[in-house]
Amino acid sequence: MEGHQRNLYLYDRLNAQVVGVSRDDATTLKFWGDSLGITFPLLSNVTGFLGEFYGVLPLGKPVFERRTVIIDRNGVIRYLRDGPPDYREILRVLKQLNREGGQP
Amino acid sequence: MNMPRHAGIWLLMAAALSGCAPVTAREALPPAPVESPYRIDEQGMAVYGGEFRFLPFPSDWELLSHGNAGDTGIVYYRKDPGSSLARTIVVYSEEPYGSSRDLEKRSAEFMDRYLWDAIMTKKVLERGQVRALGGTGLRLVVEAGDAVEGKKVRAAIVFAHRGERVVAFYATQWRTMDEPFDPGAFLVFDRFVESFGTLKKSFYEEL
Repeated sequence: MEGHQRNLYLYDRLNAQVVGVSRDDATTLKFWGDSLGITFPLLSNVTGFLGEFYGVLPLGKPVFERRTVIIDRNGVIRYLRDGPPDYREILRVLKQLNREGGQP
Repeated sequence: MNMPRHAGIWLLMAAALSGCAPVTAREALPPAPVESPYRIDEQGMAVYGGEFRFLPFPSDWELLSHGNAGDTGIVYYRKDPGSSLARTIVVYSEEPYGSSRDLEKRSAEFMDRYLWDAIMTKKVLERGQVRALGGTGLRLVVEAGDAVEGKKVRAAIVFAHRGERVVAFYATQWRTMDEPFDPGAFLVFDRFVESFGTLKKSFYEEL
């Protein structure tokens, strides 16, 4: 997540908004985000429906699996990656999407 | 029509802030041979990944990193004489802890996390400017000790700009409480920083 924070200025140039989603409660997320200096939105999804929607809610486990998803302006998922984020790959994909879509 | 800047956005979602990386079953394959990114050029300088150039380390230092310098950095290790704890590690990192692009702010963010798992109270002994990567860098010397576990650490850290982003060089030297620090290792570190240059634009500069 700190990597996303580091790249926020680039996401802004590439017309992207990053959102983090977790099953942790809002208070935990607030303290966790503050400890890393995170300024982008962190969504608390305690019930886990977002994890189910994005396929990262393993049966019997209380936390989401790690997955990075890029959704385009039409709501279409254009990129999925499981495990730790590949920050450079994310930037390359966003740049490509900007090339395809032009400026909003 | 004027729209908010992010009205037509790419939404990048990162799930599982506190989740662990998934474990997937994989077939056991023999590891692929790793080609070293390190070579010595005609002028006797070390070249790493075709991107970085610096004075080679003395022969008692071991290069530990064998990949992209972006995430893992360039890492050198030396087992120092003395206890099993005695060692020095020198790192160049393109992604040091923190996120600010201001050297002072980044140094504060970095220090919040650096050696965090050692649970030591760090004390900044020196703070000053140095030349690094063709610009003005910020150099800190830090010490910390743990009387309970009987260990101490001394570190020199240099923050510098590469393009818009902050990169860091740091040397971390571990000792038991009764062992002296070795200033010679920090001279090697300073030579590394002074000689360090880039041979091409960074990923971020080319983005």
